[in-house]
Amino acid sequence: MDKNNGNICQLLEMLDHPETYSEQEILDIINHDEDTRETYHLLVEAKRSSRQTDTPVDVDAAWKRFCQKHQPTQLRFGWLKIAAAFIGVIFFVGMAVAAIWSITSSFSSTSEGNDHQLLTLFGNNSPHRRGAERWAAEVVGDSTIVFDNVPLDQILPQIADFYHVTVDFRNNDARQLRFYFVWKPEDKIEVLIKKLNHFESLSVELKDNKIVVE
Amino acid sequence: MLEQPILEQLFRRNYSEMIRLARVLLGDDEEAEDVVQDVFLRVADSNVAPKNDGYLLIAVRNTCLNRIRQMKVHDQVKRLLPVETEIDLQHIDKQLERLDDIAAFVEERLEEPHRSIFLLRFGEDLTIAEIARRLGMNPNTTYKYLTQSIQQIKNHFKRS
Repeated sequence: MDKNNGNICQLLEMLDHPETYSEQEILDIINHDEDTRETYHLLVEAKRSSRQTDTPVDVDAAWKRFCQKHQPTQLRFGWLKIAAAFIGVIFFVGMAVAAIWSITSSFSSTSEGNDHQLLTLFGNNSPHRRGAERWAAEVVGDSTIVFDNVPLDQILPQIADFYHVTVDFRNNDARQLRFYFVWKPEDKIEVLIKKLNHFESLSVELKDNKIVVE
Repeated sequence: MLEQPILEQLFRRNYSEMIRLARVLLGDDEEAEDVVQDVFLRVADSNVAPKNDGYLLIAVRNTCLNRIRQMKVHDQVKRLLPVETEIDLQHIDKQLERLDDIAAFVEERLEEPHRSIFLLRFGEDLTIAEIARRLGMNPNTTYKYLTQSIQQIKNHFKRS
């Protein structure tokens, strides 16, 4: 057996049972010399050539699989938004409870006898900084949220996330309209739209999973 | 994010070629699909479509080579994948052409039982002992024939 055939045999033996060789031994065999390296690469190509087939590819099925894989990313973001909205609500509640606790501890006599719990939270436009810009979200009872003097472009995105829809402001002036609005998350979206349309200055409709503000 | 209709058009136009390349390079259908989907996910997340379709094949090739690089040497040789991937950074068309030439050579120029032994070893991943058993041959003779076939292919492709 000549030297080249000896190298090929060694390669073939190693390829049959690579688990009996250490990583270094494998590399030593493959990199024994330039000729052996070339032979290994030729075997890699021989293997690849056997994989070349003209089997028809089902592109439709692949596209569906891709869409399924791709969509969860969007849904995941959707869930993140919902989770963020809930965290936001919990944060609101927590802050409001803290505010109430602080108010009640200072003015305990004013809250005594009140069976209606009113929680008020001041946003970034706190009256301490910008009195005219005061807005508040009030949480009443277990789930009802009252937006008090809150711009529409802050109310609607939060609510829309909850219903898995988006908001389309076709009338930019409507963004800054401020409302006192009571939102019950258990309301169906159609009920919400109806309630919003009770405001004279507002025209809202649900189109293709969008709350469209005209 | 790339618009869905543009993405779908790109996908439908290029998927077959991309999946074939990934299968050839990785030898694993599931992993190949994973690579191609991965490339399209990256395309989907970008704001602009690739400059040309060739980019998609290069992306598949590079993703496959990255995966191979990350494997352990034992897994690389068990699946007959390259342990050095630099050599694979040639023009994709030329590489595929060479694979076609090798397949044609095996089919047309190797005689029996050399051709069957070669195809059982590299097409069906049988060990020499398994091939010998299947063909009712002596394992040493099987080794000899396979070695001769490899030498013959080497000589042919060295010359060309």
